Amino acid sequence: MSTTPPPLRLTCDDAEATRGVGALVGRFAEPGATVLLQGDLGAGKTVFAQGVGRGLEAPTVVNSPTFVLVNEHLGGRLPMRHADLYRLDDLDQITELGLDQAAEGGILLVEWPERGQGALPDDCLHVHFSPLADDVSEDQLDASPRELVLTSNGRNAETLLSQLAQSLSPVSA
Amino acid sequence: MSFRVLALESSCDEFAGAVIEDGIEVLASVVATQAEIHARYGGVVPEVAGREHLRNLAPVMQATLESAGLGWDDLDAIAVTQGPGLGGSLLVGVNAAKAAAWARGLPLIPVHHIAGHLYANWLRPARDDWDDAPPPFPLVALVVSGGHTELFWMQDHERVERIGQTRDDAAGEAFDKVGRLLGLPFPGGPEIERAAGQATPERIAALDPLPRAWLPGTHDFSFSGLKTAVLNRVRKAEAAGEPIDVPAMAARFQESVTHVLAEKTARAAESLGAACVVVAGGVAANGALRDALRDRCAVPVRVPPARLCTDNAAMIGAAACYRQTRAPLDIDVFSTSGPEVFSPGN
Repeated sequence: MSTTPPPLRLTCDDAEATRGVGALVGRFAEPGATVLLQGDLGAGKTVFAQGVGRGLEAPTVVNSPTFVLVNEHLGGRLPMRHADLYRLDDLDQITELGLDQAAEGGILLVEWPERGQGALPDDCLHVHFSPLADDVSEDQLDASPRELVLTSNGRNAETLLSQLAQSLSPVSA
Repeated sequence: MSFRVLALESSCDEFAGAVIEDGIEVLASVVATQAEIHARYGGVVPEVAGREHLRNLAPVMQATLESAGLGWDDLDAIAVTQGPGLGGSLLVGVNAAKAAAWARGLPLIPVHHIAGHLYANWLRPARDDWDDAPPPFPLVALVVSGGHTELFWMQDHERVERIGQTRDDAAGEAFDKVGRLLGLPFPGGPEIERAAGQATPERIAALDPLPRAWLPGTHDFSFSGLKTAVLNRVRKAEAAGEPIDVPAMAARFQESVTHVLAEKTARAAESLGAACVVVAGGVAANGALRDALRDRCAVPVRVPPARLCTDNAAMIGAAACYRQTRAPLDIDVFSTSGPEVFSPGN
């Protein structure tokens, strides 16, 4: 019997710290891992995905898949598929992307997953992003802090979350 | 001898066909909007992209040939967008193209969607202002759309390399997301341009400029911070109960995007010694971007007419004529940004 690990709360002081957490996910993830990235515009979802790409040692530039819907990054430890449901509001369109199968043999990242409930794998790591500072200089946006809350649903995600928790020292439990 | 290609493009929500002669003449260009199909065939077209394409493909192919006044025997090749795009939508176009190529014994030429956008600049309607001459090599090409913000260095049709790209959001994506933040209708590009046109210089001056990401030493772009800066200003105004000057904010945003695009494109053209700059993709329809590029670049700046900036099949047919890479009939689509734009076969 596995016990569900508690939520992991992390404070990332800047974009590089968010990439660092993503990189750990890229390093630890087993084939089939699904990571849902939830947060408002500019909250750090794509930055986190860049970190996952780095952790996988993928050679490609990880940028926003909002219009392309799904970007595929090959050449790393595992293939990474990076999806974005921002533009899709019709569950039929989302189902057509075949995301329930897209994690197979690799790692699937999904931005704006709240739009695709029912069309996504059940076993997933959930990362919720929220900005911590109200008043940030526009020249220092990369240096604005974020809170990341990681929770798991399903066996594989629980294992991944436990590994992450072991290698990070959370600011608060 | 002329070379005529029937081109199909179905990477997104529209199914388009075109017949292009010698990479220049647009003998026909049909985009399956509901209105066009309705006018010709009187059917009601369902909304869902993939299924819609399936119903549109035969009428569009037929309408394209009819409009060109040609039959299947007059064609020399079939071209099709292989990717990137929505997998289900691409499959419809690629399989239609394969079937047509097999049935008529014609070569199949797969085209990368981005290469297609670039080659809109080689079509006759894009040459009108240039004494009919094609863009001179070597050139720097800026592809700027909802999904892409990329710079290419083209020494000729064979030697093409991507020298820069966005590290986060595409410029068109930033337009759409900021449009939504400002409460403007979709799509954000034309709406922001329209709103910005209503801003007076005094009201624009009352707003601080928005940030620009220069990423010095590279030809790369970043628009994510600009989007976040607009979001923060909107939030701050909401929290303070103050109204947002939407036209002025739209103008400040558009100014930031076009300034960075024009400046970085001009610098690339200068450092590489380009003879001209070509622009392509949906955001190339933005008037402020055209003006900024023409103000800043020392070499001629070519932008296709607006109807050739958005997705169409004519550009796919043009690219196919200049890059006649024939493919076996078992090619697959690619729904992602995976392969290089100008890798062999694309």
